Parts: sequence; C-alpha cells; structure tokens
Amino acid sequence: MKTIKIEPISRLEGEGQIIIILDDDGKVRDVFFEILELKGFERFCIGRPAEEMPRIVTRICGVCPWAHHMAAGKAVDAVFGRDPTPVAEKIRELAYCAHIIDSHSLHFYFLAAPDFLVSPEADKSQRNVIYLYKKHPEIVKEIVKHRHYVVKIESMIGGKSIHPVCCVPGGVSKRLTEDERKEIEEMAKELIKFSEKWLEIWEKDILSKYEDIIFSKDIYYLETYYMGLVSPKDNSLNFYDGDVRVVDQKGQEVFRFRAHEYLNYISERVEAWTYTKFPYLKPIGWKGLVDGPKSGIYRVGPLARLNVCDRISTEKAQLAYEKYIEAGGKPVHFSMFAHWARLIEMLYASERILELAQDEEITSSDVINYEGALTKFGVGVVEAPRGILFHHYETDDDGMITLANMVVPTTQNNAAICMDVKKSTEKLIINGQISEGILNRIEMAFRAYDPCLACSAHSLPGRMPLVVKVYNTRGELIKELRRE
Amino acid sequence: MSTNKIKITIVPGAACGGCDVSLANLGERLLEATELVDIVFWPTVADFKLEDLKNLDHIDIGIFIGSIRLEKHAEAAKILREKAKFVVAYGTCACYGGIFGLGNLSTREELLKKVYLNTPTTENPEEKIPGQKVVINGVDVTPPRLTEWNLPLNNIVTVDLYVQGCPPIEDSINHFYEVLVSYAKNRKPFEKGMMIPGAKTLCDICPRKKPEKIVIEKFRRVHEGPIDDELCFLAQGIICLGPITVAGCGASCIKANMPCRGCLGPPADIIDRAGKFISTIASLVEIEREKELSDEELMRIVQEIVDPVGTFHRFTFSSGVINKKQEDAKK
Repeated sequence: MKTIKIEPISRLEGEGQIIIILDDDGKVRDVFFEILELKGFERFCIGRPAEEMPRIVTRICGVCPWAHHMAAGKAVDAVFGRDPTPVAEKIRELAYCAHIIDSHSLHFYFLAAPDFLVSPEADKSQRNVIYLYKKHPEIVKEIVKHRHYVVKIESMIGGKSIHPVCCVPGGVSKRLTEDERKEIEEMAKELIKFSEKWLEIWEKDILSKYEDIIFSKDIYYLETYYMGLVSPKDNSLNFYDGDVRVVDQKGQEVFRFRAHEYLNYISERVEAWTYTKFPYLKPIGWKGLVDGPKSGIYRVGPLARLNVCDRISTEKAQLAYEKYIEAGGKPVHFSMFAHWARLIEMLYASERILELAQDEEITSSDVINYEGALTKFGVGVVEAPRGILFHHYETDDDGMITLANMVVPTTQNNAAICMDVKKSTEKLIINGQISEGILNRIEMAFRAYDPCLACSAHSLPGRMPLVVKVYNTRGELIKELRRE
Repeated sequence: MSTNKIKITIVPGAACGGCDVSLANLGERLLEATELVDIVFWPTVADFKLEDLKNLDHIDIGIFIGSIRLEKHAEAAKILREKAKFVVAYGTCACYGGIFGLGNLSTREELLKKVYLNTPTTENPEEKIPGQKVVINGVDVTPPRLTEWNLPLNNIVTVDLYVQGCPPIEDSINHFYEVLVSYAKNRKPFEKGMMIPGAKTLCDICPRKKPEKIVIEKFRRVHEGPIDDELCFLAQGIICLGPITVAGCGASCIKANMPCRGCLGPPADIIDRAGKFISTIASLVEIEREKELSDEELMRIVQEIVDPVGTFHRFTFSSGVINKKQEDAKK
C-alpha cells in the first residue's frame, strides 16, 4: 500500500493537508483532506458579554471577517430581543455586499484568473499575478483600483475592512453621511462596469477555451444537496438575510427553515483524523463520503446559492444568471461553475450597492433600536462568500455567553472537497502511476471551493506550492513531485 | 540585479488569515518594488515549510504570523530564527498571542471536549477527538497535537521587530513598509527589539473631546444606550482601552463610534496591561468622592465592569503576568 501526502492547502481554521492511500493494485482507497488546527472559539467565547461577540468572532477568519461579524450581529439582535431599524439593515447589507466583492475578487482576480488568462499549460513562473503585472500592468492596476473601492466602503461603515466593528444589538454604531453616500454611489457605478467587463471576458474568452475542464462530468462533478439563503417573498438571491432553502439533486426544494430552527436540519460528524467536522442534513442522515439523494452531504457557496435561488433581483445580474443556467442547466453540479457564479454574484453585489446607496433613507440617523427584552437565545445566519454561515448563542440573565456554536462554510463543504479530491485522484492515478498533472488537478478541485486561505496567503505568489509525497508501506519515500 | 534583492519569508503559525490579507495588500504596493524585495517563501504547511526553510542558505527578513498553537509552529519558528538575520513578529497574535490566548482560560483538553463532544450540532457517539492516534488501512493519519497552551512568538525565540495590529493597518503597516524598503535600499540594520508603531497611546491621537477630569459614576455596556460620537468613551462610562493601547490604527474603531478593545496591544513601556488599566480606572472612579467611598463601594463600582479578563486582555492574555488557567488559583 502507498500513501501520498499533499502538504500545503487551505488554512480556514489553520493548516491543511491531503493524504491519499492507494491499495496494493494501485487504486485509490482513501482520501483524507485534513484540517490541522483548532482555536477553540466555542469554548473561549463562554463568559464573554454577548454584545461583544461581533467583535470577537471576526477573528475566526481574517479573510471573511464580515461574514462572522454579521452572523454574530444578527444572533445578538435576537439575544437582546431587538429588531434592527430598517436603515441599519440597509447599511449592514450595503457593507456586506462590498465584502462579497472584496472576498470574491481577491479569489478570482489574483488566483483563478492568472490560470485562465495565461493558460494552465503555461510555464509555472507565468501563472501568477506578478507575471500578469509585468505583462499587463494596466489590468492589474485596474483590479487593485476596484478592490480599493470596496475596501473603502467597508472601512467607512465598519471602521476597518478587516475585523470591522459596526454591528451592535439592534443596529449599527454609526450613520452614513451624505458625502459618504455620494462617494459610494459613484464607486458602485464603476464596480458595475468592472464586473460586467469580467463577465464578458469569462463568457467570451475563458468558457470556450476551457470547456473540457469546466464541463467535465468525470472529475469536478458531484450530485449533492445544496443549501443557501433566499429572500422569502420571491426566492431571489440574498447574501444578508432570508429563509434557508435546501434543494435536492434535481433542484427541488426539500427543506425550508428559519435560522433559529437549524438544529432540526444540521448535524456534524466528528472524525479523529481532522480538526474539521462533517456537517450533513440531519433528516437524511450520514452515509459516508458519497453523493446522491440518500446521502445527507450538501454543498454551500456560490454554486449552491445559484442553485437554491429562483432569480436575482437586479437587472444585469439576472441576465447573466439566465445565461449561466442555459449553459449549465439547473441545478448546476459542475464544481468549476463556482468561478462563473462568483462573477455573477459580484455583479449583483455591485448593483445592490448602487440600489442601497440611492435609497432615500440610507443616510437617516435612525440606526439603532434600543427597545427589546433579553431572550438569552439567538441564531444569526448570513451567506459568507464561501457559503451559508450559522452563529448560535445562548446567555445567562446578564447577557453573558453560556453557549456558542458556529457552523462555517468550508466545514460544510468539507465532505464535498474530500470527494472531489478523491475523484480527481482516481482519474489520475492509474495502476499506481502518479501523473504530474495530479498537482494541478487536485489544486483545482479544492480551489473551486475557495477554501479560505487559498485566496489570501497565496495572492502574491499566485500559485500554491504543492508537494506530493508517495510512500511505500515501510514508510520510505519512493517518489516526490514538487511544484513551487 | 536579483542578488541585491532582500530575501523575505513569511511563516504562518496559528492565524486567522487577516495578517496574510494585510500583507497581500502591502504586496500590492510591493509589486512596484519587486526590484528591491524577493519573497522567497510564503507556504502554508509545516513539513514542507520546515524542509524548505532548512534548505535556504539565508533569509534577510523572516516574518512570523500568528501564535504558537502546534508543536510544528514552534519548530518552524526556531528554524526561522536560525536562518533569518531579522525575525519579525507580525501582528498581535505573534506579538502577544492574540485572541486565541483566551483559549488559555481553559486547558487543551477542555477546549477539545467542548468542540468535539459538547456542541449542539455534534453527533459523536464514539467520542472521537482529533489528536488521538488514528491508523486507517495501516497508515497513520493522526493530525498534529495542539500545544498545551497558546503562546506568543517571543516565548519560543528572540524577536527583533514587533509589528502590532490585528491586523497591522494604517500607521503600523506604513511604518513597516518604510522599514522594509529602507533596509532593502541601504541594508541599514534596524534597532533590535523595535516596536512598530511605537510608544504613543491611542488616547494621544484620539479625535474625541476629553474632559479635563473624567469621573465615572457608573459603567455601562455598549448596547445599553446612545453613545455620544464626539465625547471620550470613558467619560461616558464605557470601557475603552485607549489609555493602554498603542496608537497605530488611525483610531479606526473610535471613528466608527465603537470603543477600543486593545487589539494592537500596549505601547512599549507598559508591562502589566491589566494592572495598568485597573489603576487607571480606579483613579477615574468617582474621583471627587473617592475619600467618602468605602473600599466596598469602590469595589462595587469596579465590579460593574463585566468580563475584566476578556476585556483588558482580550488580545494579550497569553503574554500577561498570569497567562493560563491556574488550576489551584482558588486555593
């Protein structure tokens, strides 16, 4: 038996590695996608004041701190029995849309785009943002400029873009001034143009060139359940609030619930070989790492969101969404469509920022509701850039935390990532022969899920360093493949 | 002239990724300085990292992000120290242990049990806990064990430069960028043990109105009523860590109408942060009536401060005078 270790990947909750075990006739027997770290927030949040939670849990993830900030903000609204004012909800959603663009753009432009624009076959030294900068400085400068717009919007509202502070029970800490509103409005117009341009690049230049990868049913394809938020009134895409909707492998709604009911629908399994749990649909049950209707495994994220929603409420993104469905069907099971979905979501987020910036009451000073009685229980839900996120808190009579539970996106995709990685290795490892291409293919499998640190730590080198080590049963290294 | 470039490596410990994003943002500026700086190394996993680190002949500046929470973090830190001319603790976790330091209020076993046995979504009848030895099909797939406690970098190796911030932004990162570029240009070594951003406190740069004499009659929590967005938080009875926090963030939270929670850590000259703050607070509490108040009454007012450890040491507990759960503290 052989063991293959791939040691470098995401670090949502720290570090990760992939271990692949081959049986004696060279077939893939097992794949372990391991997360190698634990911080223990569920323990050390106990005893903290509930109203401070939005400022504590941001540190779960510095790549999507806004998602944790918002989910916590909504959970503590409920803990203190306060409905945020309508203006506060709008300001939160506006900042949150900026964050979706921030996070998606970091991922797409700096990580995925160099692959597609320069070609996956090009020399390694050319497939990164530094090379892209040397070759096309104007493209990179434009990306940087538009990223600065969203960072600016985040900072205006949240104080800072990484680890924001604006959510307080019942609203936000600060109103938006007219000058800020105007500036946001102008930036939103630019962001819409920019998102449209990249969608055009995707549709015209990338899609046709990489059909074999994007439309591959062999490798990056899983028929799972999907979970995401939709607006209650029309099932449209919503990042900030709504009903949790689960659709099946055919796209039919199977469950629909509000955040506070999540315990009826989600359970998490523990394996001692990884610090990350395996969430699954409780009513369906855990059947191991398999897809199909009998397995409770579900996916979250851009792919899932566009599978659970029926429409997008803004004009331009709706048109883009129609093209997407036309190409991929519905639901879309191709994992690589997640890149396309991200571009559509950036367009929607840009249009939504403009709508909110033009809203008449957005600069009102009515940004906090202080009325309400302590309920001691709250569940907050939002769509994090990588998928749906739940924060559940309970408190004592003084509003001090007695229970904190978080179900995060990369955890929810954990099983699917393991399965996609397994599938790609099965295709590439035949009779124990390890193809060089395995490095790229495996990397692409988990990159489609954008596991957190992939999009931040690696944005400078642009490519992940990867090492595959093959061991024999005596633990001796027999082959090493390396790509830096 | 690649031989003249300075070689930089970035080694992660236990981190949230925020420091990486702030470095990536700095990287956008560094794109224009690629003739000065060569980032030879920004990997993510220990074995690979350790080997490659061992193979490098020299590093000019070794940047460590995050705290120490796995044995391999400590090992990576030691190799970094051997190879690098200068070791930088980048961000509050590396400098002080960061927010994960609050994990030291529990033992490692308590953390693991809570997360893997006792959360409402967990179904774990076999009571599997990561870190236990696991052998599947004859292959050992045991993940690395957590260290007993969460530690800052200088508990493991000597640190030459501290860059404070969670993550470093504004003055912190601008100053660090200047240090890097200036070193790349002149090779002028910087003062060892230097702290960026320096010694000023947040109060020194705070834009709010601060009355000459602050009198706190009652403490209140941030959600308990409207907050005047121009007046000093402490003057409103709201705990703000400005007096014991280094200035380097551009007062970003204050400007968003939220009090400081001390994420940059203290200025260079404050050693015991909680002690310093409690003495600051004690001098503010009803100072006029201080002589009339009995010790009990004074204590009652101070006790209105909820969660003092999680507030004063939210980001620095790992580096405090008392920095872990004391099993026999109650005795």
